[in-house]
Amino acid sequence: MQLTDVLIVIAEVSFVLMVSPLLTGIIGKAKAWMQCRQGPSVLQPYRDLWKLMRKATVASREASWLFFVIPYVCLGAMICLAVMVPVFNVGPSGGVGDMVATIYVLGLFRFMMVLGGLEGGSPFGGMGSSREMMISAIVEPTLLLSIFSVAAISGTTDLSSISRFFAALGPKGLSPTLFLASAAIFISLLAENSRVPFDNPATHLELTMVHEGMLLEYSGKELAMMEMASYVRLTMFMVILSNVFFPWGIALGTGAGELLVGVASISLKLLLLSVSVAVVESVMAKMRLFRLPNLLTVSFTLSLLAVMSYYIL
Amino acid sequence: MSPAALPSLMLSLPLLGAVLAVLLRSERSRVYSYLCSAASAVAAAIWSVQVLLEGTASLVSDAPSVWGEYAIRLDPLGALVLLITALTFACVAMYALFSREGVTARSALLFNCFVLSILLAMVADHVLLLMIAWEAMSLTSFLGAWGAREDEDTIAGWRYLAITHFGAALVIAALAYLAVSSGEVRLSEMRGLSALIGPGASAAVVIMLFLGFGSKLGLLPFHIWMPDLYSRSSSTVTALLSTAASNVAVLVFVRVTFSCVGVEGQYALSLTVMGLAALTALWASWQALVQRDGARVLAFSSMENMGLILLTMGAAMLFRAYGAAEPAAFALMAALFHLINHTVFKALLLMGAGTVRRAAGEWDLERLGGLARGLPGLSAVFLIGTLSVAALPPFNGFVSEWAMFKALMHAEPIADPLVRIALPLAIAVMALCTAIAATAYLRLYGLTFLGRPRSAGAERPRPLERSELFPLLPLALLCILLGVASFPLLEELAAAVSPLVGASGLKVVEGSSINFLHQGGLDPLGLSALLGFGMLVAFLIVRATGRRKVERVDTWDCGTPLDRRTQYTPTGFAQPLLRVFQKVYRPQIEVREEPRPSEYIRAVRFEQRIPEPFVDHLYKPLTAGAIALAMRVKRMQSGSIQAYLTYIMVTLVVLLVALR
Repeated sequence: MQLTDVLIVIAEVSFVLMVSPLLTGIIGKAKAWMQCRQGPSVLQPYRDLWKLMRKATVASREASWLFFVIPYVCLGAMICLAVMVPVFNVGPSGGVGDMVATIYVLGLFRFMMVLGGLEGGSPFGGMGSSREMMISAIVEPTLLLSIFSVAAISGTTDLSSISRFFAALGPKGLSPTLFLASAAIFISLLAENSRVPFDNPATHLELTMVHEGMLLEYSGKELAMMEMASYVRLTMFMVILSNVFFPWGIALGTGAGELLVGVASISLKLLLLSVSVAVVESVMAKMRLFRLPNLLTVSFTLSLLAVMSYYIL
Repeated sequence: MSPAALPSLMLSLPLLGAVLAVLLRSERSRVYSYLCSAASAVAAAIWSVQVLLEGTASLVSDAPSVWGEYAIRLDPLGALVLLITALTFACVAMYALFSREGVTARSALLFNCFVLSILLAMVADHVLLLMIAWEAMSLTSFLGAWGAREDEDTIAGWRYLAITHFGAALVIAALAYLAVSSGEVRLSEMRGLSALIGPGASAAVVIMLFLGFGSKLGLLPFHIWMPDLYSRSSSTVTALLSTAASNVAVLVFVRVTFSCVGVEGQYALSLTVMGLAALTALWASWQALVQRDGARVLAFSSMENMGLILLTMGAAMLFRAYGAAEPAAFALMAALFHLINHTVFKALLLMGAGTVRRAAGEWDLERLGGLARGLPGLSAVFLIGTLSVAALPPFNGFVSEWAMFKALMHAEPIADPLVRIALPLAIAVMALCTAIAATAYLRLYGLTFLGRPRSAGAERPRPLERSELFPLLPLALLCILLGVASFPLLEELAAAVSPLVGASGLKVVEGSSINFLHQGGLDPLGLSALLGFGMLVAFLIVRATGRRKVERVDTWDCGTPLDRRTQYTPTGFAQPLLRVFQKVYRPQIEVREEPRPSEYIRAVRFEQRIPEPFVDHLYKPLTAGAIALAMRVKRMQSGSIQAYLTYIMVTLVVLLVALR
C-alpha cells in the first residue's frame, strides 16, 4: 500500500464522518418540504451531536461495564467499515475490503447495539432489541444473497474489484440481476437504518419504535457516539449501494482531476439517495410490525431471484 | 525417546486416572485422576505437534487379535484436529478440577474413560478398534448423563441409547462391509474402494456412515436426545461430547468418504447430504431461539454448527463429484476449520454456562439476568464465546464462517444448472441459519448477563474464585488467536485435505489474506487492526470534547417503579420471530381469564407450548410400535422349559435343513 493510498483512505474516512450527519439533515429537510413545513436546518444533526458531546452521561444503576464499551465498538466498527468500502476512489484491490466481511462488520454493530438495548432492563430497550433482531434475521440473508449475485457477475467479492469491474463496463453492465439485487439492497437499507416503513425515526417513547428504543438508556457522549454511528451506517449503506451497483464516476486512479470527479459523483449519488429515502418516507406510512415480514420476504425473494436470474438468463 | 512413548502416554494416563479414581476414594484421588486426563491431553498435543513437524506416525501393536493387528495412526489432518481438541481437553480437565463439578469418584472415573475413548477413536486406524472406542464413547456419555440418579426421566435416556446404537449399527455395518469387501482392516489401507464395490454400493456405504455418525452430531431426525442430555449432564461431559465426539464423527466421516470410498460421480448423494444438513441446521437454529434452558440453547447450537459443517462438506462432495478438485479442497478446509473453531468456543460456552449455573443456582433463562454486574470476569469471557459462536469479527467463528460462505460461492466451474441453483440455495439457508442463530445467542447472553435480575439467585450470585475462571481463559485466548492469526493452521489444513480430494497443493494464503481463486480475500489480522483503529479514533474524538462525567440513576420507568418482571423475558424476546415463523413452530397458546384481583385489574394467564413434532409424530409411534411388538413376542416367553426345548429343537432342524 502506498502513501497516496493511505492518504486517500484517510480522506475518505474523514469525508464519510463529515458528511454523514448532513445526509440525515437533508433527509429531514426534504421530508419537511414535502409536508409544507419549514423544518430544522440541515445542520441540525451537527448541533445535536455537539450538544450531546458536552453533556454529562446519565446511566442506569443496573447497567454493566459493557454498556460503556458498546458505543466505542459501534462507532469503531463503522469507522472500520468506512475504511473497507471504497468511497470516491476504488483503491487498491485485494486489501481488506471484502464484501462478505462488510456484512459481518455491520452484524457486529447490530449485535452490540442490541445488547446495549438490553442493558438496564428497560422494557423499551427489550422491545427495540427483540424487534431489531426479527428484522435483521431476514435482512442479513438478503444482503448476503445480493452480494452473491454481484460476486457471480463480477467474479469477486472484493469491493474495489467490483467497483472497478462495473465502472469499466459502464451502462453495458446493467442487467436484470443488478436491478433485482439493488432493489433488494434498497429495501434492506430502509430496514437496517430504521426508516419508514420499518420504523419511524421521528418518534420517541412510542410503542412503534425499534431503533430509538434501544438507545433510550444512552445519554451524553455515549448517545452522541451511538447517533453518530447510526448516521455513518446510513451513509455507508448508500455508499455501498452506489459504488457496487452504479459506480460510474468513481476515481479509478489517483489523479487530482479524477478524485474531484469521484467526490462530486459520490456526493451527487448520496444526495439523490437521501432524497429518494425522504420521498419513500413521505409517501408511505409506517407498517404494522407484523406486516413487516411480508416486505422483508419480498426483498429476500428479490435477492434470490437476482441470483437465479444470473444463472438462468 | 521411542516413537511410541507419546501415544502410549496419551492412552495409558486416562487408564491410570480411572484406576486411581476407583482405588483412592479420598478427596485427593479426584485431583490425581483429573490431572491424569490433563497430562494425557498434553501428551496428545505434543504428539500431534510432532506429527505435524515430522509427518504421519503409525503404530502397530504386537498383541494378537482375531482380526489383523491393532494399529493406531495419526496423519497431519488428524493431528491438527487432535491438537486443538487436546488443548480443549486440558482446559476441561482443569475446569473439572477447580470447579469441583466432578466431586465423586464415579464422575472422575467416567471422565477418564470418556477421554480415553475419544482419544482412541480419534487415532484408531484399525476398524475394530474404532468401533470399540466409538461404542465406549456412547456408553460413558450415557452413564455420565443418566446413570447418576434413580429418577423418573428414563425415557430420554433410553431414547439416547436407542438412537446412538442405531447409529452405531449403521457405522459398524458400513465399516464391516468395507473391510470385508476390500480385505483390509486398516482405514489407511483402504483407498478409492468405489471402483471395487461399484457406485451404488459406495453411495449406500456413505449414506449409512452419514446417518450413523450423524446420530452423534444431531442430524435430523436423530437430534432429539441432544437437548435432554445437555441439560442433564455436567458441563464437563457435555463440553467433551459436543466438541471432541463431534470431531471424531466428522473426521472419520471425511476420511472414509473422501479417501476410503471416493465420491466421483455421486451427484445425487452429495445433494442428499447437503439437503439433510441444511434441514438440520435450519431446524436447530429455529429451536435454539425458543429454548428456556441455556444448556438446551447450546445443544441446538452444536446441532446447527454441525449442520453447517456437513452442508459445506456436502458441497465439497458435490465439487469433487464434478471433478472440481480445488473448490472441493477449499470447502473441506473451511468445514474442518469451522469444526476446530467450534471445539474451542463451544467448550468455552458450555463451561461458562456451567459456571453460571453454579454461581446463580439457576439455569432457567426466565430466572436469570443482570449477572454482568456481579460476575464481570465471567461475563467478559462468555461474551468472547458468544461473539465467536455468532460469527462476528474479529473472532474465530467469523473467519471460518466467512470461509464456508466463500466455499459455497464457487458455482462457476460447474455448468450443471441444478448445481447452480443448489449452491445459492445453500447460501440462503446458511445465511438464514446464521442470522437466526445469532439472535438465539444474543438472547442467551443478553438475558443472562444484562438487564435486571429475575430471581434472588441471579441478584446475588456466589462470587467466583479466580481459579474457577482460569480454565476458560486459554480457550478465550484461542478464540481470538484462531481468529486473527489462523494462517499457519489454514495452510496446514489445506495441505492436509488436498490429497483427500485429489487437489495438488491448495494455496489459500496470499500475502496477508486468505484468498482462493481470485475471488477476493479476507485479511483477518488487518480487519482486527482496523476495528481496533476505529475504536481508537472513536476514543480520541470523544476525549477531544472534554472529560466524561457519569451519573448513576434508575432505569427510565415512566413513573412506575420497575420490578423483576417488568422487563423483557426470554419468551417475549423470541416472540416476534416466533410469529414470523409461526408455520414452523406451531405454538400452542392458551390464554385464560383468571379471577380479577380488583375491580380495575384483569388477570390473564398466558401459556405457550412449542410442540416437538419429531418426538410426537416419529418417536412416540415408534416406541409404541416397539412396545406392542415386544408384547406380542412376550407370548412366546412362557417360562416353561419344555417350550424352550421345543424352540431349540425347531431352530436346530430349520438350520440343519437350510444349511445342509
